[in-house]
Amino acid sequence: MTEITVTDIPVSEIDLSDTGFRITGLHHDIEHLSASISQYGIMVEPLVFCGSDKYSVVSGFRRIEAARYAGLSRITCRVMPAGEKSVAAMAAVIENAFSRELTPAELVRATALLFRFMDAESIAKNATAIFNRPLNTAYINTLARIHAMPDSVLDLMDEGKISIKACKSLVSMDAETMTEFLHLFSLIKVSSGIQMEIIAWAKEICALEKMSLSTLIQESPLGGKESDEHRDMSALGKQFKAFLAQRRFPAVTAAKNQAQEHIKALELDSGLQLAVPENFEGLVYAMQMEFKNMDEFKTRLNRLAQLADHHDFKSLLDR
Amino acid sequence: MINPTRVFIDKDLNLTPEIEYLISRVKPTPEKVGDSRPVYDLINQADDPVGFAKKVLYITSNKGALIRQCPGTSYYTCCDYTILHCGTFCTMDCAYCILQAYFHPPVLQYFAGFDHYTAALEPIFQGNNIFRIGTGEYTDSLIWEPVSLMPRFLVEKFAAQDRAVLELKTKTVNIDTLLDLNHNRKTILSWSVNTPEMIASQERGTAGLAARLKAAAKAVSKGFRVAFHFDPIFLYPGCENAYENVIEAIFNHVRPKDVVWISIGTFRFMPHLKSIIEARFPESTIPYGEFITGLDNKMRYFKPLRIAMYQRLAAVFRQIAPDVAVYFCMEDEEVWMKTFGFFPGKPKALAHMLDRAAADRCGLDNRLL
Repeated sequence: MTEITVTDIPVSEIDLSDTGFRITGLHHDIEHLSASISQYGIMVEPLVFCGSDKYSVVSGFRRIEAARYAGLSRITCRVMPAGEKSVAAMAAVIENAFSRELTPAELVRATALLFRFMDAESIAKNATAIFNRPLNTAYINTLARIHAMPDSVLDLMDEGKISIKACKSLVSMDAETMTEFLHLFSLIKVSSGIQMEIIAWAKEICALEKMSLSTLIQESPLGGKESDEHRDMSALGKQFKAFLAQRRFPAVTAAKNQAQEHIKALELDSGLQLAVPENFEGLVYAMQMEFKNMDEFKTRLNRLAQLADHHDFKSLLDR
Repeated sequence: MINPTRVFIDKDLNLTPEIEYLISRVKPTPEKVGDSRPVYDLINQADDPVGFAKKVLYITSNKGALIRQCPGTSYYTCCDYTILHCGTFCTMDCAYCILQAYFHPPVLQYFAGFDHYTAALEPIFQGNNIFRIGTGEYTDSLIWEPVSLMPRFLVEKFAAQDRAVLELKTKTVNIDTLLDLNHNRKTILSWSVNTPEMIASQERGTAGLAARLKAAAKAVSKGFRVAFHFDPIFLYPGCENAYENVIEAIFNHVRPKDVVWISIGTFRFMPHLKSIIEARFPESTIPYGEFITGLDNKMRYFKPLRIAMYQRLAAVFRQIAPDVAVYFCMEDEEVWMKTFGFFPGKPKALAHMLDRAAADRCGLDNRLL
């Protein structure tokens, strides 16, 4: 066990620019934390590492930033002795992983940090004690490969714009395509599942049409757009997904749209729901009728009977 | 070509002439194994087990059923084919091949034991039903022809009865040792066909279309009946004309009366085959068609696209070979009706249609229909 001392340290002697052990993202609002520290002090002492002339932060970057912001000149810290960088690296991960679940970006940074001192097998062997969860060797190697992607990937992960699963499908792509995808995900914000659909469909369209991803993006509703936090990125994501779906599955999309138009034209009231065969593969249509009393039952039954002569209903069934 | 780098054989397998012939035709000396485990382990440790398995031959006996029913699904209409399970996997390398995903791992197995086959077939040959039996479900029927006596054995076996036809389905032209056999029309030599561009890009190591059709003509000249399988059909720009040209090419080589049946079916696949194709055939775009999930949970082309393609082909068949039995492998009522104007919907109706074709063309006992 490493001997840790608790010491009052001048803030000026802590080197915040040394982020070698940092696994948290850089973009955090520290005003609330700063106000809390001003009022109540630091509840858990940051962990620092005794460097040659200054202290390096192992864990507690935000607390120290916030303390400095609050105007504190000295901070009580836990100090690790010099010369034990591998222990400090593990401590940096453990401190975070056992206080809360690591975010995907933190998991990637933490793995990369440990990779400086041990191999994937050793990390996997000790994962539950370090990460508070099991990790297998293949997954650890994947995380390391994600860390080796362009820097923007971690920013996107911090912003919740790209998942580990999506990154995993990008790591084997060529550098240009990977960069284009990262650019794409900087413009939109969608769920992890939709990210996977977007990656698959875009890749497949590019393969089928022998075009680059950048050309496809240019031809899409995102064409010419730069990342802008004031835009509704979720709406842009939906638009882009719809664009890809139409391009990737033109006949299916057209059929679905046409069916929707026919159903809309039927003007069914809320108690009647018509379902077409999924993907138009089967032959069975379904009509669900809800009613609260005899009058409603008779009214809706009447409405159903009228449908048999409705032009749009016939068109829907005559495919 | 069967050209293995390693050959394994079950240590308790008797060295019959059948096995001695096979061993004499493959180069490496067989390594004896107590069971399949060492073979499976060897294949599983390869970076590309599917590719590697094509170079490892395992001579064994079939521990399960030799005669099986085709694994059709309930929603789509099946032809009720019977499978003679005499081997697994293939030495050719087609991007779309389901065998890449079907076996875990795939193993090039030869199931030896002519006595077992005789015993399994005897009840069929003595029975009161017509059977259409094929060996090409889990392997290519004729990759074995250059190294094994099995195809010859089966052709002669079937020649001596009139209850069943044997279909040897292939993408090779390995028919030379069969041509002069007394087949009595009970063996149908059949070829999977595709367009020249699809053969070139998606079917590594197979014979070209022209070679297949030339082999078919040669077989017909020796009195064999033949069949063709347009399966899988791929939808791509210009595919309609390309497949129509294949139909025309077929009937430039053989007469309609020589053809027992022709099946057609568009590309469909278990979803996890997609990642295998992407990994093993990175240039292939065949998994990127306009697919939906079918009612059997396989990926299928969107139905209107399938129907449009089938209608084009059906028109050509009607024009060139109206009397040949053309059927769908695994399609539903809507597809049948919109393509052919009828649906063999009753149980065994499609089977009966094909049994009749086999009886007519191959001289089976008509009274059993």
